[in-house]
Amino acid sequence: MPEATEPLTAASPLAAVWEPGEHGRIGPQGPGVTFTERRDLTLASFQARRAGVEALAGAASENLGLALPGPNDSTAGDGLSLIWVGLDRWLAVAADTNGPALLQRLGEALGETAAVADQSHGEYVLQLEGPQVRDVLMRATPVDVHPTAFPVGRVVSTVMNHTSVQLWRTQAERYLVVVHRGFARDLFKFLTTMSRDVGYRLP
Amino acid sequence: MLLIPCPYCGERAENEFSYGGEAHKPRPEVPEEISDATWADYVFLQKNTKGTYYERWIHSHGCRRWFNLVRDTLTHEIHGAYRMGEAPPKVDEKTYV
Ligand SMILES: [Zn+2]
Repeated sequence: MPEATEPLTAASPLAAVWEPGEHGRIGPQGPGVTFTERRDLTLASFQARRAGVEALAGAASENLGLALPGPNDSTAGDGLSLIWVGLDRWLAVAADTNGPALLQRLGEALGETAAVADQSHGEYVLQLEGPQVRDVLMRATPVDVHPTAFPVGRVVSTVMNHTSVQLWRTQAERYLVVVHRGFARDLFKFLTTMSRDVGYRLP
Repeated sequence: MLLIPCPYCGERAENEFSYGGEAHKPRPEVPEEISDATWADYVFLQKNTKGTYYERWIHSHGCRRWFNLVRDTLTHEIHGAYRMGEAPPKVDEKTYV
């Protein structure tokens, strides 16, 4: 039997298509949007078990210090955010790359009230940020992204280029797009095409 | 494009949804005891009303839930959405010829 060759290393699904630099029509103000790979995050999904959503909400607020967000909403705490992805289903997003630590933290906090699963390997997070990010999103999604309809903190499950995504506004000019990893490259090509007109930067 | 009021997520564009056909169509209790013709009626035949229609939709790119919608199939006017198991809203029903 041959020896195992190399240890597994984390690889970006965009490695082959990510060309650092400025692309498209760059105006005098610079790029309208900057793309960033958010591979510094850990994601885990959790869902209410038989005890129901109220028991889960109680455990989350007591042990995580976070309210369970309702439809189209998120809550943020110290290094950990919760986003609503569907009825009795949420995604926990931690600002570090320690998957086992997040699973342990959620497991201890939520106990029997929730079923928890690491999604860091299966989901990919792309960040769009800049003065013209909204122009890009208006082309890319049917969702109303006007600030009155889409305030900071709002997160919606929607569609971009036939692909299901979570679109999450984390700051005034910053949005995160959560997509299944296998669709990341296709979605990246779509979003960069939508961004050519405002000019975009890949760090 | 239709703006469909998902009972869970609110108003969203039609391309987030998939269509499920006629609502409130009772499934035969014991399919093996009915005739092929009756089963075919259940599976394939729909009222297909030109007018007020009660239909199923799923928010396939959103919350992924099935729900019911009352829609005018001629004018596309949407009279309301309601969750599975809930009673439909009272609607002034219309049919056109
Ligand atoms: Zn929905």
